[in-house]
Amino acid sequence: MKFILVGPPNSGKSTLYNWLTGSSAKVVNYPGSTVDYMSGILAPHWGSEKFEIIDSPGTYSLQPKSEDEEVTYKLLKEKKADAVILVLDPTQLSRHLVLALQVQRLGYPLIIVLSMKDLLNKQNIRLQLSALESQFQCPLYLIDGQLGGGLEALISGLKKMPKVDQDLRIHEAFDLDQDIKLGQELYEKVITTHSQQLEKVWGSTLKLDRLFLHPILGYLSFFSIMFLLFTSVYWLATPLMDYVESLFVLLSELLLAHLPDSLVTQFLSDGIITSFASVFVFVPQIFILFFLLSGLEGSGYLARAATIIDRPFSMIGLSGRSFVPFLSGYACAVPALMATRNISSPKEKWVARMIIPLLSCSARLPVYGLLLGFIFWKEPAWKPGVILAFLYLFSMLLASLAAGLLNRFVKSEKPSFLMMELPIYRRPLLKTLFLQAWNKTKSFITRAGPVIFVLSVFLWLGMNFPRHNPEIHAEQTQLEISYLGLAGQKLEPLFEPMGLDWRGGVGLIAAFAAREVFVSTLSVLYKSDEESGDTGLIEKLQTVKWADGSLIYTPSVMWGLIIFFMIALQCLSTVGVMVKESQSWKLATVQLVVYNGIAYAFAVVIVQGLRAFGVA
Amino acid sequence: MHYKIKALKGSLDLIDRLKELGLVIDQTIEVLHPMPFQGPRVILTTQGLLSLRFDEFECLQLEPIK
Repeated sequence: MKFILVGPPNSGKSTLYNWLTGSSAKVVNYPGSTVDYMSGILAPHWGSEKFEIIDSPGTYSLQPKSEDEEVTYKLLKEKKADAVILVLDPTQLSRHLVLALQVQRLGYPLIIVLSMKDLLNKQNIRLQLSALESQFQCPLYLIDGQLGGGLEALISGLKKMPKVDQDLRIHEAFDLDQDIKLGQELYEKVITTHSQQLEKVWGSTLKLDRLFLHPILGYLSFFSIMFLLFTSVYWLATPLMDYVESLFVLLSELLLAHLPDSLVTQFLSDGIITSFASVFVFVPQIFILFFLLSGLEGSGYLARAATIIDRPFSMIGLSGRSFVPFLSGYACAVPALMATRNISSPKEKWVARMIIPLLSCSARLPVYGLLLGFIFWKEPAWKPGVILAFLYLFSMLLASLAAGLLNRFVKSEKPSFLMMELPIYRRPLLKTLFLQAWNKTKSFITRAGPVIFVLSVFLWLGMNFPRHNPEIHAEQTQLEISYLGLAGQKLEPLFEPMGLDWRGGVGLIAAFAAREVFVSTLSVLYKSDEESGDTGLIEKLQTVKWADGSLIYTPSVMWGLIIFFMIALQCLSTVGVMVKESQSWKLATVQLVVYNGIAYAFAVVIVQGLRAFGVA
Repeated sequence: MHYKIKALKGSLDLIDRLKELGLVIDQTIEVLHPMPFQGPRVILTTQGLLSLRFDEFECLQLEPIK
């Protein structure tokens, strides 16, 4: 039997979903749209019944005004479930009863769940539940989303639900004004508490909002919280990412030590294990980011953050909801692209996904370090430091400019709204946060992981075939004689306008595995002493010459490379996630071609322009 | 500052969304936190807190309550 959870945003649907399904959740993309919903099986500890639970996107009514509301409407219309579990927040009941009345008229077997029982008890709010039962003629349960109280009664109610051959009245037109009037009449019968007590529910929230929504202190607290959030992600995730990476290195070394020295062993060790590592290395960052974001969302703060930042973002055609993906993009585009799922407007989601690769992610840092180290060789350290800060600022301006341009060209069928309920501040439950973060992480591993894995294996094959034969290739490295190396040599005329020889070109191609690979590839190709790190490589690059004796790597070439790396989409993981998030190879390919084409053109213009002005 | 909603103006979708959020004619609201530079307005209704963009808020025709 299939149940669909339906309810307004922030009514406690997802919390109930997590309680019911545990960690069995899988993310489902609604066909033909970019909107996800979750689907899972009733957790085994609730019984042996194989109930499927669908968590639909939140909606205020069955007259959809956004793509995610449309998905909920279609899930109901296409009879994707046998019964509806209607989740309503009793502290927002007057608003939520409109949706309840509309769902009732569809004719689905219905169960009503009033979430946030804990708040009702805490604030001594009394509800006349018999009035609701008599209106809806269905079982009604009060649950405590924080501690799980009332769930056993709900589960036994689900088990008793008859599977009815439905005669649904989906095509019925809804009269919103009439439903609002009916909802209000019903609300007045249900609520028996004096309005002063209702104000008490909001008392502490209103006090906290004097700080968090203050015109000045609100912005200060917003930036402090976001600074703490993202530095925590960085500091907490980095050691774990290093740990994951070293585990895979250890595994690779174990294979090399215990298996015979053969091509298969090398493939397993460097190809397969390294490709697995390129997927799993992101797991700590994704888990921690979504754990903390779920905490902010569950506490009620994220809705305030969207309010605070909406105005600046609206200037580039985005809303406050885009802030989290935007900022996450500075750490890594992979979790940032996943975070765009929370944006309800399809147009805005699309624009955010298009601009995220332009933000200077942490993988660009080692490359900038090398290039700026070359340009400012033996100059005071503050100079490259200041330029680095400008590069980050410039990437923000570039992304904003791109967002502004894309917004002008992309038309939207549905208007973009900010208007939303601001929930009561609550302390989120650790178990819920853990499950939400785990579901996001699992979705990354199962959806984007295979794409990243396959692309990484192909890159390895390109770098390692044909095989190096010391008798024939005594003076050449494996990379030089590989398909990738050969492609670089064939493509040298393409790289020359950027001031690069074929080795530099191969470095750019290899950087598609990860941008920082550019540095290690140049080290291999120019046979730099790896132990001396960037300094050794910079010294080596300063001596590399063309056949006519002129230097290859000059400041103008390095500035060209900086511009190239700022714009180019050189990350297969990002491409893989983009494919899965947008459900479109075409879009990901267009993004890849356009960004790399623009990056190439700008790099050529910079190099040739600087040379024209006499810069070496 | 307390107001009474006298009318709703704007596109049909916008008006419907305002109504779904409980912003109907004769509803009393209190404007709590206006964000600077025509940023969102946070309003308190009898049913809770709402955040509206400035242009969404402008769709509410309001009458001050003394």
